[in-house]
Amino acid sequence: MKKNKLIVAVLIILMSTLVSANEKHNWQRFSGKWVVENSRVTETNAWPATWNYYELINNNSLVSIQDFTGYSSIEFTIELFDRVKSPAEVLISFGVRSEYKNWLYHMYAFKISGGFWGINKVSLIHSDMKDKSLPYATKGNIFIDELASEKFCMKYKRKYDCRIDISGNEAALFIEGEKVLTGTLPSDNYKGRIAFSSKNTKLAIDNVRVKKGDKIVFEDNFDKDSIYVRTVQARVVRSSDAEAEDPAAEEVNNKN
Amino acid sequence: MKKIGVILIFAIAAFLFVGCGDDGTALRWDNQSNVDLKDVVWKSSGSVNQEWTGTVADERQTDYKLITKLAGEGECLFDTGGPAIISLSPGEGVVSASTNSAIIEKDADATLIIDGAVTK
Repeated sequence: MKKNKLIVAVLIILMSTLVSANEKHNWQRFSGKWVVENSRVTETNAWPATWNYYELINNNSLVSIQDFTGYSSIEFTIELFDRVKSPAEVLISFGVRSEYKNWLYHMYAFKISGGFWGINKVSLIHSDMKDKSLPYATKGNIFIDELASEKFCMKYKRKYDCRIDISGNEAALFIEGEKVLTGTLPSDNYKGRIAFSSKNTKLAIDNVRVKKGDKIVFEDNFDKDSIYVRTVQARVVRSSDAEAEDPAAEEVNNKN
Repeated sequence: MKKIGVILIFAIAAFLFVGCGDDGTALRWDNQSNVDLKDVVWKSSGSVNQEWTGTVADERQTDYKLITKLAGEGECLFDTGGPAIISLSPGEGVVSASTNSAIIEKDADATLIIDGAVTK
């Protein structure tokens, strides 16, 4: 009898482990509409979010769930298409971290931007909270420092293999194997999450790898949906029905 | 000729009167989720159509605001800084609702009650 119970317990543990393994998320959707299909992830909104808090949430952003430390490079493939407005911007962020919960104010990023004819500028930026004495939920309380920039050319509707190399406080962006920008970070602490963001253009990402030397510490080819989307449930009702359902509701509303 | 002119004036006045009576479609949010939410937005085709800035505390409602896009979806922020999609399901007074989006009945006053499980 005891043996049977033990077998059942082991089976339950095994099944729950398998289920949780299948539900593994690598990324969290922060803003925008990210769709995994054709073995890549695509942001399909293009129009930017308007939260006006930290830089990541002001763009359409996909943020890694995992924190990375001591990594030396980030590899990925990107394609920009269907620009809706100028400037079209893409951020590849690293060292994304917060001092409190999900207020991800601190980040470094390579930013590529351009207009109707294509991408024409690449820069390395550093963003964080401007006045740390203010509450986290203060709109517009950020600075964005441009650490380095260069003129640069990239076309829409074309895939590019990219790599970011980080060593000490030096960061370099390579596109199709060619170094396009090097910059110096204000600190050699680039521990944190990585993120991909876009504004005014659609963006497709594939083959993301984070490496420590030659060793791959993280990999996502988007062969399956690995994005966690935070959701709250809501019911849509006629207002008259809502008041009938909750007589106190009208009273609360009048107080507002 | 004069008669036709008077009739026309009355017809135009009646038309304008009916037009003014059309109040449009208004939305409000009722937060019953047990957590405080911030900056709720009504989005359509990716762009913001209406927003309710500030904190909507638990068991509180926003004011009514007019929307011009009847088909849309909701988004908000948690007080912890992370955003969330508001997944809408149909109650009375909504034409349809799919996984996350809904189409609100034209000229209706609708309340969107956030009362489901919050995934953190």
